[in-house]
Amino acid sequence: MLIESLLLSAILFAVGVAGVLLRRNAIVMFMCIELMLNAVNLFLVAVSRYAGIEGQVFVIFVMTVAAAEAAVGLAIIISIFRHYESVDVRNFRLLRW
Amino acid sequence: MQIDFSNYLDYLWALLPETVLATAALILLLYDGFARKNASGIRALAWASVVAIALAAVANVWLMGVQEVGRTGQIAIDGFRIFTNFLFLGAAALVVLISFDYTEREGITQGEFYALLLFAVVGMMLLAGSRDLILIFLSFELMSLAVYVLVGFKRRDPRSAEAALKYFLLGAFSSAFLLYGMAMLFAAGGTTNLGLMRETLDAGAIGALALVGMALLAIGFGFKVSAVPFHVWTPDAYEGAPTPITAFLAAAIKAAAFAAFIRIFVVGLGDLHVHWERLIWWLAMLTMIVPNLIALVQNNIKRLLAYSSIAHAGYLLVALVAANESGMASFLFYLVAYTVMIVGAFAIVLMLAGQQDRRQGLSDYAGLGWSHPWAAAILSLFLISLAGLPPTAGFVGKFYILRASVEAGYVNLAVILAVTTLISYWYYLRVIVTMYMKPSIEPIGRVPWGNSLRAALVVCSLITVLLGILPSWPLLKARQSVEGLRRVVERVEDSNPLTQP
Repeated sequence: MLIESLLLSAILFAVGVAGVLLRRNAIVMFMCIELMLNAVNLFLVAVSRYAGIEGQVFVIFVMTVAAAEAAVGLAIIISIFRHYESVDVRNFRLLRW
Repeated sequence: MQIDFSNYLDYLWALLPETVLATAALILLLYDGFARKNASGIRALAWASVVAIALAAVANVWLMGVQEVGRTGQIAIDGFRIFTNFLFLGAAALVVLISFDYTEREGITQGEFYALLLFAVVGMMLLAGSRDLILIFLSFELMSLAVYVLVGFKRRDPRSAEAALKYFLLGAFSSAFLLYGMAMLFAAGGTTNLGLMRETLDAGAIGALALVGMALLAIGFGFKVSAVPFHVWTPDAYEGAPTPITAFLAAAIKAAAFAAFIRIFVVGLGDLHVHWERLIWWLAMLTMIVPNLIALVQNNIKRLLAYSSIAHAGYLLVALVAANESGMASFLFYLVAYTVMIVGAFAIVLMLAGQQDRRQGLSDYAGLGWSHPWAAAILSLFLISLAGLPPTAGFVGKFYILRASVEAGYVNLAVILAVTTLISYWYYLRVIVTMYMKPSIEPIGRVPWGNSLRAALVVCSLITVLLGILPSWPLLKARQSVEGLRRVVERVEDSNPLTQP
């Protein structure tokens, strides 16, 4: 079961990375980041059977942090929506070199 | 006093500076809920946060007399932590001092500005002092979440919101990489404690899991310290953020990320140096070359300083690759020098920019040397120091990093450092030439220099010059504070057959 769980977590993580790199909607990108965090959670739970109980403790903290991050992230997305009426990152181009 | 973490109260003592600062930040937040929202109210909050930072510094002085038992406690009480704590507190105090006039000019009356700043400092101090992967991740997020909000603090300004979004998305993205790397190291080593991990991860028999974990960690840290090719967010975030926060990002946040970088790679994974040095070597090389070339064509002063700060991350990475004790000492020395000069430079930029941060172009600085001689002179001092010309702190710092990298056998990196420094003279001197030799197009007019900002500038320029002229005492302190950092367990005594019964 260990190998399967690790593979699944790697696939989920890769899906998340691909989503962040390919999608251009800020909310979808943010969801993909959450997917990456949850892939790590799966990894930690799977290995904690062999590596020690700290893995499960880690997961609790990661979930808490992800919730806090969602609060801040959505607030930032709302504040930018007020300026542009859009959450498509291609529209945000005031800052460029 | 000795601390061995047998009693839970010991954690409170070991975390006294952080506790003081966090309590002060909570009180500030609570007080702000009832305070009147005007210029004098925010001024009082700013003074209160200066007092809080001073109290935390006193607690940090007390911590110098505390001994820890063993080197595997979750909270490290060593010279490295105490030195970096002073650095973070000093940088935060300077940032608060330069924020006084900024908040007044831009009409920021929300006291959360200072509370969030203090929370970010708590995160940084925890980051530099923790010896456990869980705690490192938590303090990273404590620091980052506060700073995401600070970058987007000017809600009426679309540039600020855009900078916050870019910084947030890439920061959270990199946190996921960091976390996956930590999880893999945990799986390979069977522990989250860095001191114990050093024992369980054997350089001779290292598996793929630990190697991939180290690579992912390096990617995550690469984003956080803005190493090339993970630097794309940096210029945008620096340009759009409120200028005091830009100074904070460039100085303190980068220093904290580097402190954790060192704590994990040099202390926790110190025996695996052969496996990670190539990777960090490439990061250091790219981070020195690319931003110095891009900075040559920048016309916005904040962006130019942002690229300069990326280049400085490259110089600091050289000290990290060297990973010997003189490397660590020169790293700490350079951090102090870099902090004062970048905060000072951004303080001048902040004042000259005027209402709504209008004037940021290089052409606005034409003729400044004659209309505002003091501002131009001080900015030139910081730029010369950033460029690394004698007799300033930047020169001495670069010299020590060069020496450490040659000592460790990385002559090629030292050569690249010297050549890129030469290239960087061009764009630093370009600003100075613009200030003194070009006629002014649009006069800047009177600039109101507040007393707190003057104080911060005096401190920054004094330290910049003093470190350049009398570097031996600070360098000695830096060397003392990294002594024994790499030695986790007294291996020498243990492995000697004569001392064993």
